[in-house]
Amino acid sequence: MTKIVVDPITRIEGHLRIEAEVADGKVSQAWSSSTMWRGIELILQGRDPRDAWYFTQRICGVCTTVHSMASIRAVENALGIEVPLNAIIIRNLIEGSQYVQDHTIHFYHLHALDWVDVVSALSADPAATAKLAQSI
Amino acid sequence: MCKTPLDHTLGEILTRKGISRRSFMKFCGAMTAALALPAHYTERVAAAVSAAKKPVLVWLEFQDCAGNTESLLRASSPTAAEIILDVLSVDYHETIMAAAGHQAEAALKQATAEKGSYLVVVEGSIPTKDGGIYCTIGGRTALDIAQEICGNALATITCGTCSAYCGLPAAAPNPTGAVGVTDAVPGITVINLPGCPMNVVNLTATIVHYLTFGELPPTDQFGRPFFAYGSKIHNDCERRPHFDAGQFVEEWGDGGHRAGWCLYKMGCKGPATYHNCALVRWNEETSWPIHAGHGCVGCSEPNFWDTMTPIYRRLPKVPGFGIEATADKIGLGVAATVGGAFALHGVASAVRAKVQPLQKSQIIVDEEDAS
Ligand code: SF4
Repeated sequence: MTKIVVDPITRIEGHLRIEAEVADGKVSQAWSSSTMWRGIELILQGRDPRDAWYFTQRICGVCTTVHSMASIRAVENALGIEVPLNAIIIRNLIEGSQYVQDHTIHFYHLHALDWVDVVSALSADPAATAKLAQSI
Repeated sequence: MCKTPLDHTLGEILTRKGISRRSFMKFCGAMTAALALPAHYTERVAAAVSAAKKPVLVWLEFQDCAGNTESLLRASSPTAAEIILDVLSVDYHETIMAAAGHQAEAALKQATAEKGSYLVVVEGSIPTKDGGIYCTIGGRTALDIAQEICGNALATITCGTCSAYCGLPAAAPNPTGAVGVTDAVPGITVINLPGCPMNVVNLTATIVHYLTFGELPPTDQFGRPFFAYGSKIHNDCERRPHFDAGQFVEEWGDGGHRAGWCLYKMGCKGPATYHNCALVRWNEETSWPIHAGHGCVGCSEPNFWDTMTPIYRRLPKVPGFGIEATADKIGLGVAATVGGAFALHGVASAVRAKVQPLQKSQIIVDEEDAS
């Protein structure tokens, strides 16, 4: 049995450590730990609820918007606030923009490198790749 | 003999990348303007940047949200993006590097092997409580890594308010004992680029200044470069004529809000915040928070999470200043008073947040204040 530790896991926001036990070429046990904590939940206590979204969104600087939206909804639920139609439309537009922006960041800057072997691009055959792509 | 990337000058690398002289000069012009230098400095900036060798840059992330990394990736003009991402070369960056685990750690070791030969960017605060366990990378604490890597660097550039002044993690009650780089590694050369997040224009301009003059730009008492933090948001704000004319938004969506009036009564912290947001803006210079209709939250000021909140409460009454009364018949002379009142309020508010959490009844009082 071999034990593998990958720390840091890169191209994510935050800090992550993965430990895995490998037996007969298969992962038999695995643990993941988030190795950074700020305590935003504790920091929020006792503050003005109208500020909560601004503190909460800093959970992640990559998908910031969704955290602020979730926090706003939590405050609205707690206070029984009815959301005006215009606000719903604006929020949908904001979420849509975030979706487009985040896809680009996530695919091209972050996880693309898990699928693309940059070094072997040197020996790539673009014509064959194009042909393969068109056949799908 | 074959040249390694480190032997090439930035000029050679730019030429090889097909960046035209024209767009390079445009970039240098923009940097000269950002650095608040006279336009004739453009030639000098261009000459220095062309002749400079690619500096080694490592980017460390501690108690962060990667928001400053996002800001880096958003460098809008293609030339600026090229310079930051490809030419300046980020040799280690957890969020965007291909390697992970041992490979990543090896890359860091290699880039920082020679003492005093590299620049470090730090994003995120550094926890000190309980032996620093609240942030570890590769089994080492952030504090340990910062002391070694920043301690041996040529200079450290903090990006964002968390690494500059401890930021959000240090907001009361600071659960993890978070500190900024200057407190974690005393005595080293640090330049602070606070903001939540910092604007990549200011990071690029700081590095260009370093390449052009061989030193970091001059800073204020909080370690922030004057070129970016020398003037208040309130001084450069496009809504300022409305402030001076006493035209204030009183409620979200009212006539004044739709007409672009001043956001002071809605809690804008622009009168107490030093930053060049109004001038450099965001997203290809299209907009910035106040332009979009929300007040400034004061994000480039130390401890703003405690001193500038509640976000939607306007400058409070401070005995002796009579701010509330003055706001309604605002005159030109009031701006200086406003800043002073704000500094005082900051202290009072920080103390309150630490010793006495807001009660519901207080929140209602605040709402009345803001109306
Ligand atoms: S108070 Fe805010 S919105 Fe009004 S002029 Fe000053 S910075 Fe601009």
